[in-house]
Formats: sequence, C-alpha cells, structure tokens
Amino acid sequence: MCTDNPGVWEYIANWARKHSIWVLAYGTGCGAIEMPPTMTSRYDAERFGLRGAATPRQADLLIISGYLATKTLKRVIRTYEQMYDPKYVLALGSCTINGGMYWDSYNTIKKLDLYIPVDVYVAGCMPRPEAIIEGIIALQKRIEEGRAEGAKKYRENIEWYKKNQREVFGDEMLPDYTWNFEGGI
Amino acid sequence: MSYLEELKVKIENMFSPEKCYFPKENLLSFLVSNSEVRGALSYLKDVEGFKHFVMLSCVDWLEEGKFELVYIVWHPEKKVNAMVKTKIDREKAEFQSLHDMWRQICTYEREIWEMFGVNFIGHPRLEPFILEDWKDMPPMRRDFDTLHYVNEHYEWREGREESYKPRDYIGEAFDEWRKK
Repeated sequence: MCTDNPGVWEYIANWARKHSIWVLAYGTGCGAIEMPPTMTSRYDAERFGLRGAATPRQADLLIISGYLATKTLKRVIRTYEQMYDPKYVLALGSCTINGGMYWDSYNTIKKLDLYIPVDVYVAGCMPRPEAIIEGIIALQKRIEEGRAEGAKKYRENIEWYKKNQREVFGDEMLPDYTWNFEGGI
Repeated sequence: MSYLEELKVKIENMFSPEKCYFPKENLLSFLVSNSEVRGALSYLKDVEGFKHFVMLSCVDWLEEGKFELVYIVWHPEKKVNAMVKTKIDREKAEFQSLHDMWRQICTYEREIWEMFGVNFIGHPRLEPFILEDWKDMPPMRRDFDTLHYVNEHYEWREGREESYKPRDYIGEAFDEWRKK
C-alpha cells in the first residue's frame, strides 16, 4: 500500500501491521542468545504479535542482535534487500550504535545506520529481553504513527547507502540484482 | 615418578629441548628447534600414544623478532597434555606444514597463515578463510595498529570521544589496587 497518501485505509493497514510482526530468525552477534527467552514462555513476545519467520521474503522485522563484522554486514544487507516492503530494522546493543566494546576492532562496523536504515535502537550490552520488548513497543508506536518508513528511505537514498557500503566492502561489493531489478526494491 | 616426569626425562634424552617444564599439573611443555618438531610430534603420537591433536596456536614475540608455534596434543588414556613449541623467524615467516600427521592441522595452519602471515610450505589450501578482501598486513600481528586502521576505514559516531573513559575514571583506584 502506498505510504505517500495516508488516509483511513493506511491507518487501518498500519494498525494491522503493528499487531503482526514477523521476525527474521537471523542472529548476528551475542544478542542472538537473548532472542530465545524473548520468544518463549518466560517473556512471551507473541503476546505483542511477534513471531519467527523462516525466510527474508516472509519477514517484516530484521533484528540486528549485536556487533556486525564486515563479512556479516554483507549478508545482512543482502537479507535486508530481499525483504518485502514494509520492512523494519531493530538494532540491539551498543555495538550497532557506536561500536561498543569493539570500538577499535579492525573488522566491526561502528555505525549501522550508514548502511541500512534503522528504525529503533535499543541500548545496552546486551539489552535484556525486557529492553527488547520495550524496543518492540516503540517500534509498534512508530508503525502506528506511520513513521517506520525505512524501506522508502532506503529506496530514495540508495546512492548514499551504496556509497557507504562500497567504502567498507571495496572491490567485493554486493551484486546489484538484489535491489536493482525492474521495478526497484 | 609420574608418567609425565618419566616422559620429560625421555624427551630430554632424545631431543634437545630448551625449556622443559610443567605449566600445569597435567601438562608438559617444551621448546625444540625447527627441525625437531616433526620428530617430537611423531614420537608423541606413534610411540607414546598422544593420539588427539588439541590445537595449534601462534604467539607473536615482537621484541625478539620471532613467532612461536605451539602444538598441543592429548593422551586419551593417561589424561595428560603435551605442548611442543618452536620459534621461527618473524621476517621470513615460514614453516613446514604438518597436515599429514593430523588432518585438522590444515585448518589451524590456514587460519595462522591468514592472521599472522606465516607461510606453511606444502599446505594444500592456503586461501582466505575468515577475512574477505583483506589488503592490509595480517591483523593479528602485534605491530598492526588497529586504531589507525579503524580511523582510516570507518566513521565514528559523534559524541563518542566525549564520553567518559573507564581508564581515567577508575585510574587512581586501579593504581592503588595494583600496588597492593
């Protein structure tokens, strides 16, 4: 549905999206271990409408759970580009915000939002499941207000994102076919 | 006399280890010359029965200009470890590949080749393993300046430099604690 033209249908669509967020089960760093308690009976994220999805094309939300090596970042970007609009990104931990304890590491990125648009950051090292649920509620609020438009932002600023990605990957840049096919992303 | 002490006497008679000592109760460590490594390891494996290869590691002795290769083997029946060390030149970092003794040495040597730049002669598959598209010097060498590399390749988030530094914050308390 077109997000340029907000109206009552868009409001209803956003209300529905908010209550049915499918999370891509892709753990990148140490935060992957916080996902099982969040999802299972102890904290039970399913009461917020959160469930796991098997593949990127079925998922709405990509949780970046911790530090990102440049090698992992490449996979994350490919995964993100394969997801369908609307898509959201929730980044956990101080590593994704400013490098965290890997601030002088030679192969960990320092700012995630240079490479993909991030909707909500959750600070902490690592954030506990309560904090993750708090971040999910913040994301739901953003979705309801129609401000979670990361996909649109990525589409409009694709050259800037690709320039930043090229600075990290150098010659081994990602292939174009995940985003530059007919009709765009 | 325990098994390891007997083994130590045998090793001292057979090879010319520089330092032969017990870092831990069930661990014998000794440093041999480059040409004796294969002999020492095959003696431990075939005669003494250290059948299990635990790990191969590399230590960078920057001040001496040496790399130290550490081979650790495990005796499954006596429940003891042995550690064979050797030092190679840092400038011309080369060593013979021992992948024919235990096949898992292949992977360790490939990683050390990538992270320290030690060339293993006779290795069947020296190609990039963990790093992708790496053009700088091998990153685990101690003279590799990670902060300089980060400043060149990544962008900092503003505000990070003004946040409190743990070293300054706990500095005095840490120094006092260390004096004790």
